[in-house]
Amino acid sequence: MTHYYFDVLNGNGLTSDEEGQDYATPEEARVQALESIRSIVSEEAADGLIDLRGEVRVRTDEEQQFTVSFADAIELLLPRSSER
Amino acid sequence: VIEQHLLKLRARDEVTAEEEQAIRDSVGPAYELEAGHVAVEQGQEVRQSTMLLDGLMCRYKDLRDGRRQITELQVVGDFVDLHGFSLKRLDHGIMALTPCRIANVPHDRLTEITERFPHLTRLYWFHTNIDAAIHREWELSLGRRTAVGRLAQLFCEMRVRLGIVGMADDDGYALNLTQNVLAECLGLTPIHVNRTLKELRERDAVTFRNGQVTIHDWDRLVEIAEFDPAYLYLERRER
Repeated sequence: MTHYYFDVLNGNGLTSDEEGQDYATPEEARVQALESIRSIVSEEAADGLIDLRGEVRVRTDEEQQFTVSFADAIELLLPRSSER
Repeated sequence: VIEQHLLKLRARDEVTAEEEQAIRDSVGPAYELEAGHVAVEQGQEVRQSTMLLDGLMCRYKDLRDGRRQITELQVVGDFVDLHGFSLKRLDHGIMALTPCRIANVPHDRLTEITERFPHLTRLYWFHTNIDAAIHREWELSLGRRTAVGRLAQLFCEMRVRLGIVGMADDDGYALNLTQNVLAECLGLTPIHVNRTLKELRERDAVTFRNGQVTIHDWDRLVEIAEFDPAYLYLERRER
C-alpha cells in the first residue's frame, strides 16, 4: 500500500490534502481522483456551472506523482452551434 | 461502565433506581474492539445487542463493488443494535470506526426487562424511534442537502449527541474519523469532503483537523445545515 495525497486546484483555489489515503497501485489512486472530480463537478453542475479548468495533483510523502485534469474526467458532448 | 448510556436515557425521561439496576444487571463484561472490526455482519443472526462504552461505531451497507453507505454514526452510550432484539438479524453491518470498548446485552435479558419493566420497554422503543428519526434526517441530507449542508448537518448532530453524554461543548469535540469515513456518511468522496471542509473553514463555521471539530460560529453552522434538533427529541418527559 502507498499513501497518496490529493490536492485539488480549481476555481476555489488550492485545497491541499493533509490526510491522504492508501492505495495498492497508482491506477487505483487515479480512479479515486477521477471519481472525486466527477463528484465535485456534478455538484457544481446542479448549480448551473461546469468548470473543467481544475486539476487534482496526486502526490506521495516523497514526491509529486501525477496530475489528473478535470477535463480528463468528463466527456463533454456539446450541441453544434447550428443546432442551437 | 454504562454511565453515558444512563445519561442518554435520563436526558429524555426519568429512570428509577430499580430500572437502572435492571439495566446494569443485564450488561455483560466490557471488551475492546480494534478500529475496523465488524461487530455484526449484515444478515447475521443476533442474540444480543451491543452497547457502546467508548469510541465510535457505525451502521453501514455495501454495494457489490465495495461502495459503502454509513447509515448512522453511533456514539458512546448508544445501544448500537437494540433494533436487533426484535429483528433477530440485521439488514446492515455494524463496525467499529475507532478502537472501541463495548459490552453485550443478551436478548434473553432484554426479554426479562420488557416483561418486568413496561416503562423501560417504552423508553427503549422511544430510543429506536430516535434512530429512525436520525435515518430520516440523513435521508434528507443524502437526497436534498448540498455537500456543505450535509457536512454541516453531521457536525451539528454530533455536537448535540456527544453533548448529551458529556463529550462535546460549545467550542467543539473530538471526532476521530477520517475523511474517508465522512465520505461514506455523506455519499461523497474523501477529496470532495476535503474541499467541503475547506469551505466550512473559510466561511468561519467549523474546522475539522486531526480528529478534532472546532466550532467557530455555531449559529452559522446551524444556518448552513438548516439544522433543527427537533428530530433528536431532546425534551425530558414521560415516555
